[in-house]
Amino acid sequence: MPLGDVEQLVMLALMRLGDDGFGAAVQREIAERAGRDVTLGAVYTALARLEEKGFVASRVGDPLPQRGGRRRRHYQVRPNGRVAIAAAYQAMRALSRGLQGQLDG
Amino acid sequence: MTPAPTGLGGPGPPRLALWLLERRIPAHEREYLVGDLMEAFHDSDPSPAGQRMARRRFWREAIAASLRREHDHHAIPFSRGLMTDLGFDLTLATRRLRRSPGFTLATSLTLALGVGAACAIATVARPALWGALPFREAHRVVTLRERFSGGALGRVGFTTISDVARRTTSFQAIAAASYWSPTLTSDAGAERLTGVSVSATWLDVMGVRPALGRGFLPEEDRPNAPKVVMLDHRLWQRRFGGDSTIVGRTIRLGEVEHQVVGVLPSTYEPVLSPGAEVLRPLGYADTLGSACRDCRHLQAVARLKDGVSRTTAARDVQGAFSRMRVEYASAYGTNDLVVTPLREELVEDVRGPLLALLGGAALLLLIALANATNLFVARGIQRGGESTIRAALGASRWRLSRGMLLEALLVSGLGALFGLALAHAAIGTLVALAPPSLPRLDQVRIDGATSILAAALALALGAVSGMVPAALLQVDGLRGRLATASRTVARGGHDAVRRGLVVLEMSLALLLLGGAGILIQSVQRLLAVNTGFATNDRLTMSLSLAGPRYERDEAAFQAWRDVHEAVRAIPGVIDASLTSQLPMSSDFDGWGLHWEHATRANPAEDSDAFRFAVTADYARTMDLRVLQGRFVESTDREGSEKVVVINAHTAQREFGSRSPLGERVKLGGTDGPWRTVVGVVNDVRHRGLDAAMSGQVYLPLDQNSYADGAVRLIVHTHLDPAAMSTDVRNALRRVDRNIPMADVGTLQELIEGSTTQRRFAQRLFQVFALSALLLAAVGIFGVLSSMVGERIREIGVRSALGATRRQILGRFLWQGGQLAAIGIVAGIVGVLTLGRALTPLVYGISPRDPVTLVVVSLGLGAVALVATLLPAWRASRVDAAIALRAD
Repeated sequence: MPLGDVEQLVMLALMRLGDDGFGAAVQREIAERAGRDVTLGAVYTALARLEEKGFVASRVGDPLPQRGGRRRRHYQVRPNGRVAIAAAYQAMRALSRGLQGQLDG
Repeated sequence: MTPAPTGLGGPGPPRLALWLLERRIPAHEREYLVGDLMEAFHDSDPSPAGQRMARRRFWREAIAASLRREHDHHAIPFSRGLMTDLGFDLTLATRRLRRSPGFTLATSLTLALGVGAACAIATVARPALWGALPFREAHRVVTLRERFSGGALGRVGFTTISDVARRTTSFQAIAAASYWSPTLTSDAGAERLTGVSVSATWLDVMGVRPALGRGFLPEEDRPNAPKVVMLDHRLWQRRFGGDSTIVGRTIRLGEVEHQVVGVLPSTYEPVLSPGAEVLRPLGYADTLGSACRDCRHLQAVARLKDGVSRTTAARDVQGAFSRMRVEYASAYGTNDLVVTPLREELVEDVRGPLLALLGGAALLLLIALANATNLFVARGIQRGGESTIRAALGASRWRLSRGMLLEALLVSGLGALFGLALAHAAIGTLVALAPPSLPRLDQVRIDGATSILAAALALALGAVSGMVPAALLQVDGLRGRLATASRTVARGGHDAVRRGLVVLEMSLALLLLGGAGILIQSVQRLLAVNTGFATNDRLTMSLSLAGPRYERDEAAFQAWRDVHEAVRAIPGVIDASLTSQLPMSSDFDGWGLHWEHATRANPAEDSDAFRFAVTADYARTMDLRVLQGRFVESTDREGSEKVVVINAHTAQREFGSRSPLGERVKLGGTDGPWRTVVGVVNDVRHRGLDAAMSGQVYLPLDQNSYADGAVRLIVHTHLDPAAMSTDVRNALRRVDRNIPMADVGTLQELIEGSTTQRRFAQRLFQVFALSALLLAAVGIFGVLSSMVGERIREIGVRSALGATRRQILGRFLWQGGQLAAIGIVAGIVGVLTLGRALTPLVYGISPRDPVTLVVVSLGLGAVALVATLLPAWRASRVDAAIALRAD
């Protein structure tokens, strides 16, 4: 199952964040590392789709006062998610081979 | 601890954005997404600039998250989130109504009939009954009238008014007014105007300021004062082109120059003297002959002092008048002086009829409502299956009801719009048909208040017609029904309500039909009343002499003789005569009769009679029958023996079976000459077709103690009235080109005009009753038809079990007949209870006339039978095999 553009970014961010992945952290990671301004809504849409596809798993944390008593939903990449993102990365790398000069410019 | 989010400008995240998120974010991710935003906001830079940025960011995220497209993962559809459930239901209701245009149109037109009738009648009645009078603090204006021993209320003499003004303290100002009919002469010709002579205090009492110039000064309100007038706004526009230099100029009224001192504002309404366009000072003083206490020809109005109540003023007036009654017993007898608020006096004669008409419109409105409710109940039954499924899916009872309520409100709104259009279309006709006696008829117009009434009615009608089917919804029942896999609805509650509504419709329709029947007969009986004089082929008009040259009586007598001769000489004139007053017109010239044979100690107690100063051919022109002796003859001249002819009523009252011929009588004051009775003629209706018979006395015009300035001319001719009036005008010109003709018409028109008020009410009731009949028929037809439709299976079972077509037909006819019968009986009870409301409009028949009741009941029953027959016949044609397959 192919991954969309935002979905790829979200997966990569989640892998970087390890155990600490949740919506706002993913959004921040994408903004800081990739310089892409993705809205939180879009992040959650992507997370929901990824979960539906079975690429990520989530668990619900405890209510936090700074969240107005709301809970956090933590996401983790599942093994088949790693396979999917790896496949996407491989495809990207294979296609871009020999184009470094143009792509890095 | 984190500060809790507070107001919009507070340290928390924007509340409105939070609200938006709560509405728009799907439940499964709401908590986490919103929590993330809250957390980010919480972690933001606490400096004001940082907070501002955080808030902006919060908003940006909230809006972006809310606007995600619907087909995005599990997003809430747009029609459900921001647009509330109500909006959704409204859209649904509109769509449903658009899908059933027949129902929508039929129901809204039904309501339109009721709303239209109610709005139109309320609009006609409003200026008279409720509309603000165009006077400052109009509630402080009262009228003063003398009440005679019989209870009748009448005008007062000038000295009475000035005495009351001197002896009471409750009034800021008191004014008197008297009818005045001047002839305006200019290069354009002579025109008879309606005017009024008023005290200088008139405008103070009414609370009106002149638009131009000034009011009358006290020194102008005296005998022999310089001639001044004020113009009404309409006359000023009509005859003087709204020329503002008119003030200070003179106009010719009755051949005499009058200086215009002021112009009244356009808002001024001469409510007490309808149509009056010109005002002059009354110019009375207590010493004047016409100012006497029993010269009762003045209207008296007064303005209460600020803070003085009407009861206080009435007590004040009564105190003063009881002293006056003692001092001037011969003038006042046992009379009273009555204080009435201006508005009350204005609507005295029309309030009853107007309320009866409003009641009629309200009945029609109720019938329309019953019909619409029935249609909605039927719709609710048809939708039973859908409701069952929605209820099973968790729709609350309120949610299901709300849909129906919204539909009803939309339909009633549409109905109110149609109704308003109907009222708008009808109002012109209504005003044209309305009796001229209806005060402030010229103020009738459809305006904002009418629209507000229509909107209020729409709301009420929609609420009722939508709530009834909603109340019949039983959600639990619906769920249970789904379990039994049946899609038809048990009709227990519905049926009772619908039958009840049909019964209500029938009974209200009977009320209106009964009312209409009684009013129609009243008008017929009234028009069938023998007037006592011929009304066919008689043309009549009012003539008046004006100018200093007629100040001598002899000149006026001569002018009338010349007019009489000139008119009689016109080809085609069979007869023509002059009279000082005409029966059935608004002329009321009553004089005391003081008989030689029965002199009373107090002449004020003598009976009175209407005085007709006539030419000798009056009896022939009017086709009066001479019962005894002779009528006035042309030989009864000024110098010869003074004679009178009395009517049969007077002869009977004074002499019984004895012959009155040769008896002598004085007219008016006891100082006049004796006049000998030479004949008796038949009675004529003078004050109105429905008025009690009055005394009437005829004397030769030439033998009258003074020359009348205005007389009525009656012409008997077979020629066209319009052509004849032109000939008369030309004949008059040859006598004096400044004799204006006014009130031109036929006697037939005069008679019919006297019944306008009743005919107006009768026509409206007829329209209401026919609409009611139609609605009731449609109602009973609708209910039975849908009952047949819903019982196809039952009918099938019955016929499968051997019921014949006749039995099925009979069964449904019986059901319809029962409803009609109960409705008719209830209606009869209604007529017997409410019939009294029609009393002011009824003549010669009881408002509860049994024959009328029976006839309209039979008529309504017949219509109900026909409306029942069709659905019953359809039921009898049901094929058992097909019916049992249907569900």
